[in-house]
Amino acid sequence: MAYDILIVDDSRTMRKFIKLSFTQSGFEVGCCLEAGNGQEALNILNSCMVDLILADLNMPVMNGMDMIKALRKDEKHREIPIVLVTTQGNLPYLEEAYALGVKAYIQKPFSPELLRDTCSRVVEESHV
Amino acid sequence: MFKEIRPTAISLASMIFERMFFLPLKPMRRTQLYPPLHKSPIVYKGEIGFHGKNSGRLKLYLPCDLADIMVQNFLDLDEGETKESQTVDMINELCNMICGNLFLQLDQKTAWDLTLPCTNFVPPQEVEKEPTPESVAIDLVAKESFGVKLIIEFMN
Repeated sequence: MAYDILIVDDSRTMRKFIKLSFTQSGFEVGCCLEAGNGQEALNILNSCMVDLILADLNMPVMNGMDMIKALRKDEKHREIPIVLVTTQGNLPYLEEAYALGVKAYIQKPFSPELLRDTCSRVVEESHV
Repeated sequence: MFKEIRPTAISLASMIFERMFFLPLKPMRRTQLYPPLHKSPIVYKGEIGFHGKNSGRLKLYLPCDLADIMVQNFLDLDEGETKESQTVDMINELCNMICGNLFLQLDQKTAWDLTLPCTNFVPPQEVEKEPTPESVAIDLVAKESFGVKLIIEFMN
């Protein structure tokens, strides 16, 4: 089954690397949308629905944590599973993220297999 | 924490180079005969700020030829297919990864804020500047032939 995904990261190169990692690891992606910051992601989600959001934390305009807070207040999008893909895995950030309902966290750098396994688990759990 | 910075930064930078760019990265030996980084005609400097229990900046100097190989390996591109914007973006991400992982490993309980990274060309002479006394400067060698310099600079 292919899943529609939104990648939110201010680095175009990292977004490309994530897409490449999905292909290399055999994770099937249907529609792959991209946003360079939290605000762009919210704009995209106004007109599209996805199965999974991958989000960085440290971004300009609107950071990942503020985007997650905004999504959780939004009836339409509050159930979309979110996986953090970040270098900032310090406990205070993770505790806040998990309290907001983030499903998993991947520390950069990561392997394509870790990305595939984490995303597969999260989307399967959310579809149960 | 300060004692652990050098070995932790070396081991993290090596791990990231290996995992993301498939390139070996080792500390430079004193007797090393490889061309030093400041002899490279073009040098990229990536920089990111950190704020937590301490504040400061992490700086990373890379020769242009090495950065090109890293982008090719990172994005599975062929020689000549890379764009400068991808190189700049990749170095920004590299600074982010080294700095984020460094403070995660040294002190996981503190919320370390990172600034947005930036990357520029710098004159090769800048690499030769003496680091401040509050800095940790690490000379490394990538792919057994490219000099790489990492500086972690603390503010008073």
